[in-house]
Amino acid sequence: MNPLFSLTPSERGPIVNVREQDLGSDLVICLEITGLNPLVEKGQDIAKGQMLAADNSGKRASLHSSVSGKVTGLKKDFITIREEGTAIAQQLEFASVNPETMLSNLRNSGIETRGLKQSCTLIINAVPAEAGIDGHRFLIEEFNHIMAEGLNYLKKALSPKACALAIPSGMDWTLAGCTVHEVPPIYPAGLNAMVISTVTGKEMPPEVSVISAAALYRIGRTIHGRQPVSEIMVKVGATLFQTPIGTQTGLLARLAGFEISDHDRVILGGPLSGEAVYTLRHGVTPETEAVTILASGPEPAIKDAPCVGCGECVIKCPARLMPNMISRHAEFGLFENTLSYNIASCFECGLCTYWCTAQRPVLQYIRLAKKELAKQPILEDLRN
Amino acid sequence: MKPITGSPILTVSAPAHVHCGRTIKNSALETIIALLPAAIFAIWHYQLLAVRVLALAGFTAVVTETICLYIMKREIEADNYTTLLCGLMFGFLMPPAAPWWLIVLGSTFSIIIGRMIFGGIGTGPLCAPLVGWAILIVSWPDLMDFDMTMLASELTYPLSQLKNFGPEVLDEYSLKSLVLGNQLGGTGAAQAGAILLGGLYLLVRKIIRPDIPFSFICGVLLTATLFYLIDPLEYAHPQYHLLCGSTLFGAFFLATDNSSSPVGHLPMIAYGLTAGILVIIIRVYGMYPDGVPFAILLANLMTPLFDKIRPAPFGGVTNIHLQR
Repeated sequence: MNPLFSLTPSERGPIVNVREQDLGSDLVICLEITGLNPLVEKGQDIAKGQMLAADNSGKRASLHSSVSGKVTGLKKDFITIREEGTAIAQQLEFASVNPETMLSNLRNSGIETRGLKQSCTLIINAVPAEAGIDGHRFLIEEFNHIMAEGLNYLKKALSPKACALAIPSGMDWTLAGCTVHEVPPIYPAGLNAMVISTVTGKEMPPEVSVISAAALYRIGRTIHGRQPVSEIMVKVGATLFQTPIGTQTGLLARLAGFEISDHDRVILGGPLSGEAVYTLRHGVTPETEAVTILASGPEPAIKDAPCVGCGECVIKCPARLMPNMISRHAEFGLFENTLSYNIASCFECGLCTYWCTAQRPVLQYIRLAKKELAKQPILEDLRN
Repeated sequence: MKPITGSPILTVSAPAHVHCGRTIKNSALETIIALLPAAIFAIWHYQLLAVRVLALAGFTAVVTETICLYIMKREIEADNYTTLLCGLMFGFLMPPAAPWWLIVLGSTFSIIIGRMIFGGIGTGPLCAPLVGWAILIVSWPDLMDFDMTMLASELTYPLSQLKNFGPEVLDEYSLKSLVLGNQLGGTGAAQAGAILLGGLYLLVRKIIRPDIPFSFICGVLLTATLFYLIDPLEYAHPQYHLLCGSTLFGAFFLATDNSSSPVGHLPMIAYGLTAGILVIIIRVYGMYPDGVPFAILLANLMTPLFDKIRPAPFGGVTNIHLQR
């Protein structure tokens, strides 16, 4: 099988702690704050764990500093902080008053809670999203009690009907209070939509919440330490790093032994579903689990070519859609038409683009259509 | 050029950031390689006549497309070899002794009417080489007749023999000679064995999926067997239907044409079966000895219908707002 699609976690290797490396200069972190409202000013001294930016509408998670230091740059989308001193913000309180407060406490300590619904079926997704994104193997095997603590908190906050742990088949991972479900370790089985359908037997059921194993660990660590999580596990190439949130991708790539030259690509996430960054100073986000570095080739990976109708995308699509027709309509701005090709069922695995003979950016066309359609007023839900 | 900060200039791309490596150009080149055995057999049988037909057809196709693209003010894309492939496939269908102007005309029609007026590569609703062929056979039936144009040859055209004299004349063709291409027919299309070799190469290299060729051949064999069982004296044995004319060429090369064939396993199988069944129906009841080109053209017309055969989409979500 193509190693790109194998989700079987690799053997555990040593963990490189970025702080213990000789960096040559002070650690500078760079945090993306797109859409958030900054709460600090340039030149201000920051304590470790201090809130840097929050969402005014109270939906998205707030952002905290993972180091103590001084704000050296504040732009529309980024905050940069140079590490100095050892100031630590005061501890957070996690009084379990009522479910809503419990969730907003999590949100205020930097945990994304948008997908979590009350009295849902809660699924912990411990299947690697893509080949090699298996840093949570260490967490689930060594810090099981921390994750259990996080799960207990979530159970109080959400009172879920059932809890399930989805693991790649062949692993012996367990978590107290969860039934274990094995998932075939072949991409895209590790994506949330596929995990839900494997565990519940239903496709896109409304009352299911999925949280990744890494995120559950972050919840547990937050509750346990009463501090926003500052360090995360990031896999770069074959190296697993323990690194502060916001560590610049360039630093991680250098420590992992990559030489980055012009026109290479640096991707937060895996090569099939990750997002490319445009500068090596882009820091890892709290949700990042891997950084992929792709060397440039002589040919562009994607071309502005017409669809030749070979049908590879249709055969490979795990959502049983017609990406060829969706992309053809989206290409010419006929976004309404894509609804009749069930564009909403797409869960963005990227396989259509991977297999496209014409090298079209199929997934990008689908995303464009989705974005344009999402701007329109909400229509009636026609699901049974 | 480097930015002031000293950071390398990164390329930003949309996911998926990697590609399987199979491109239009690769596929076209592999298909041309798959055509080579049949071309060599054609040259062995007809010497320079075959070289002339194939070279003229391929050359005209590329030149025509380039002129069209120039008029349409678009980038010249002859370097992806799909046009050359289209021209060669048209040449494969032509009689080896066809006059030069007929080949040029047909190849030009294939490209212009089969492909360019719909917008170029990937857009034609019909298999482009067959469009040119169909225009010629309707307009100049005498010049497209294999028996009339190849009077000098010792070989005969088994399908017209079958049509005119009944199935017993087919006994004089041994299977071995049919496989070796000792029969009249399209320059390359009649080289049954070599075409089969090329088709298997395409399957092994995964350039084409097995769905269409196998269902096409199944359609031909099943229908031919049905007729043969009804009356063995009236209708030919299925093996002749498979090896005579351009059945195998149609199954592996023409019916699998990307833009004119359906997508998805079930639509592909339905399409292949339909085309295969139509081949025998045209051969038995139609006025043309070889039903393959028209059968495939008719199946091409049904492609949008076959594409309607779809499994239910994942989750059946109809509202984009439910996604997030």
